Amino acid sequence: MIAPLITAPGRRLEAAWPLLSLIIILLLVAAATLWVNDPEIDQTVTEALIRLIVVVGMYLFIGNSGIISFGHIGFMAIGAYAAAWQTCCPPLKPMIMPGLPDFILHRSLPFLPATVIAGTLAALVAFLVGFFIMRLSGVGASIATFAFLAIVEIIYSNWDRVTAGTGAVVGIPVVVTVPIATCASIAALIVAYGFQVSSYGLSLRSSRDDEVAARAAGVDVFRQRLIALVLSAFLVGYGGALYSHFLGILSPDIFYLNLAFVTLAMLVVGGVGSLAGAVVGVLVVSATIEVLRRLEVGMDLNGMTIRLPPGSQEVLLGILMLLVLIFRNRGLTSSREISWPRRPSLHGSIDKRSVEQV
Amino acid sequence: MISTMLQYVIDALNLGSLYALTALGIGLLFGILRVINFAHGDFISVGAYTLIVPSTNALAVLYVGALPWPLVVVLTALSVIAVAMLSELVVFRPLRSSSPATLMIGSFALSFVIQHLILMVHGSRPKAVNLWPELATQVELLGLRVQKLHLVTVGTTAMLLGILTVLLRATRTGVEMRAAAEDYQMARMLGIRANAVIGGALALSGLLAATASLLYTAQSGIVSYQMGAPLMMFAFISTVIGGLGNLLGAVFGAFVVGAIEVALQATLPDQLRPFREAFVFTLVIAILLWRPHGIIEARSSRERV
Amino acid sequence: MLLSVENMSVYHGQVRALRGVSLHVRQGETVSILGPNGAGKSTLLWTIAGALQPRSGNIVFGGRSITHLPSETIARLGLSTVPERRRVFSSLTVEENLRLGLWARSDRRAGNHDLHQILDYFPRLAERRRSLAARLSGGEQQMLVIARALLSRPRLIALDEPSFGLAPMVVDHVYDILRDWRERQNLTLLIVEQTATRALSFSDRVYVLRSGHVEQVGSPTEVCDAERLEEAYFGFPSSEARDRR
Repeated sequence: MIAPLITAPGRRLEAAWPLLSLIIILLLVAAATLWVNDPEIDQTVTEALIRLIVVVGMYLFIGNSGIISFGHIGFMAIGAYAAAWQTCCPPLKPMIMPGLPDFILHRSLPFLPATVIAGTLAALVAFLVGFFIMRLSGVGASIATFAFLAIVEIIYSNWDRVTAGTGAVVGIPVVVTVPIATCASIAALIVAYGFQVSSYGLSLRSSRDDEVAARAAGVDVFRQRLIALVLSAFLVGYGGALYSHFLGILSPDIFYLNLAFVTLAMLVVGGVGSLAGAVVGVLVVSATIEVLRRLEVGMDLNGMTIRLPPGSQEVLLGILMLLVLIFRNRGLTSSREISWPRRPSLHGSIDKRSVEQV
Repeated sequence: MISTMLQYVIDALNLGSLYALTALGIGLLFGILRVINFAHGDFISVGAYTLIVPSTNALAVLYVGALPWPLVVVLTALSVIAVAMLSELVVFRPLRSSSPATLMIGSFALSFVIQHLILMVHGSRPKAVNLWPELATQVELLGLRVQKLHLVTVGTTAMLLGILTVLLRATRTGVEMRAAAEDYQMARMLGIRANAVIGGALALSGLLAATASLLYTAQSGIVSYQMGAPLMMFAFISTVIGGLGNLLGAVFGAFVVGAIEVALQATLPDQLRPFREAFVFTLVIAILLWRPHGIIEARSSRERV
Repeated sequence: MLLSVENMSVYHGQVRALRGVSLHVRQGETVSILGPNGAGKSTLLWTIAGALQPRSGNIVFGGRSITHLPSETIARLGLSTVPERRRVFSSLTVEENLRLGLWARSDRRAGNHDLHQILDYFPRLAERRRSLAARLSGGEQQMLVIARALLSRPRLIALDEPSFGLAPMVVDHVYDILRDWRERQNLTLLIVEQTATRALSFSDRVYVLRSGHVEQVGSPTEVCDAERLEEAYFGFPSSEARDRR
């Protein structure tokens, strides 16, 4: 066990370690991927990193407020399409999305500003929606987010003139590579960590643990939740924008129940209450999905071909999520951050279990 | 003019009946288990898929669906109830003492698993199912031509509602269930067997889901692995309107939703019609804001000081 | 010995609520549990009732170990619990509430006779037979839960703060009823109370709980003599002590 250095720089390192450790993990993953230089693995890792941004965005809201949101994928859709509107296919655009306003119909923006604008649009929608939804209590808010997801899906599927409806938008420039995704995800981590150690994050978490007490202590719960929602929507929207520039094509059904479930599963499996949980969850679940995907396609192991029937990926993922919920409710990380190793102290966490253990 | 209005009324009653059956199933489980069962729509899908031979072929071959109708009803009900019981054993019971959020995510995961199990066995393409074509004929009623099937739907729902009301109000099991729904722990301290009450609630919920699945399949003629989702969403809205935990309110809410949907279908201009579902969902949010406990507050949900 | 609790420890998560608590109640006895807020009195009752699981120790009722049995089984064995704050089923009628008590019996003898007897004894409940329990006053609700418990013909009734939130006259009435039925049905009573006076005059033996363990046990007079000690610990004198001063 390394003896802790009680010097000022050492203390700062210790304080920032939860964030730094995660950044180091991501850099290692990126370095390994680039070193292996296999296009398929590049794809998988890039997609995982983009999902990381989305899940970190979800965590920023869900982890700090304690409200389960099923609707964040709606913000992802908004961001994805917003980015596509700006960068896509100059000759095709007026034909497939004629309803777009003039200033965007005949213009294209470069990738970086487009993604930021896309994230901002998602954040704006979050502000409008959250203004109403964040007044509701936990369960009510969750149901409302589910309704939001459905509303986004319906609008984007049917508003043909603007989104090309259920037909795909094609021709989006594919520019997102492993280095770009890594930088973006590290940026997302910094934002999320910055939020959770700020006074906003602390205030919000106090309301998560005991809403009545938080209000009594002067926390404006509604305001804090709204702030977190808007910030999280920006991150998720930004992730969506990156996603559309990774896939190259878009259609509304990508951003519905399946993706909502997978991202939520990643967060739950890793641990809903910590940033490390989001990261660990994404990495573990992405790896699992990749293994299962290969098994579905058919893999050779010691001369035997193993092939899982299609759909088993999702079934197994669902079962994994249920197992975590039942046996390890706080997730693989127990909803704790990665802390600098030091001598164990006498603090323990007081579990808030209900008296009714039925 | 009057005949069009009557037609709308019948359509609304028909839709409302389907939503009422589903909403009751959700409401029962919420009342007793305090679970928001996202998988209820998938219980309905399970019921529909028992009608056909398991295969990934595009063409569905009737299996249970080809039997005489009493058998169809019984077998479908049994299979849905079995899935409901299994869900209780594997998901709801282990999570019994968890937070409402965990329960919600758990039922979401259950829904996901059931959907994809169906997909594994039957494939992802929707299939056409011809159930009880003899009910597609029309009869004359009050000067209108109404599908027999719609009459059967409304009639069956009314009958089931009646039976359920009698069961809950006048039988010992019903009183025990209502007690458990209000205060589960106190009910147990009075000797009420928890597992029996839960089993009863699941069986009823399964029966309601099975009925809904048969009627819905007969009407729509299609089964798909995500077919339960829209029904579930609308049923959820109904329970929210009626107040979570209030069974009568759920039924009321269901008919309100049916009426709204028919009204929107009739009045919205063509371009906006596909968005009518979005309007209905927005309504949910609006209602939740206005009355977090639903339009019809359950009498028992008011705080006792 | 009808009820024995042996060396029991109960935790709420990581927090220890009860430490090495032992308690005995003989058939026909009335035992009270006193102590300040947070002493663990309710926890003790809830664990006996089966709503909480102890981490160590046993509970034996009528010769049978009930430590890990579910609440409904314990109730059916004849240990009836009346939790604090009068948990009536407010969406059910008075009669339905009462019938739930009847059905809790393990013997299937027709309960209608008993129901009439109870309604005769509690005329206010008989009047409001078909009203929703939500409409009753606090005192009436306390009668209802006691009547409900009595209908199940238990061997032991455990009551958690039956005087909570009730006017003194009503509390007198409640205790009169308990005294009466104690004789009629040869009941054993285990009562948790915050206000010591009532319980002391009503009980055969008293346990004093503090910070999760048994501080004192004895007859009411024995415990009363140490009242000065109680004052010092609890920080408030009983009304009798105040009067005596």
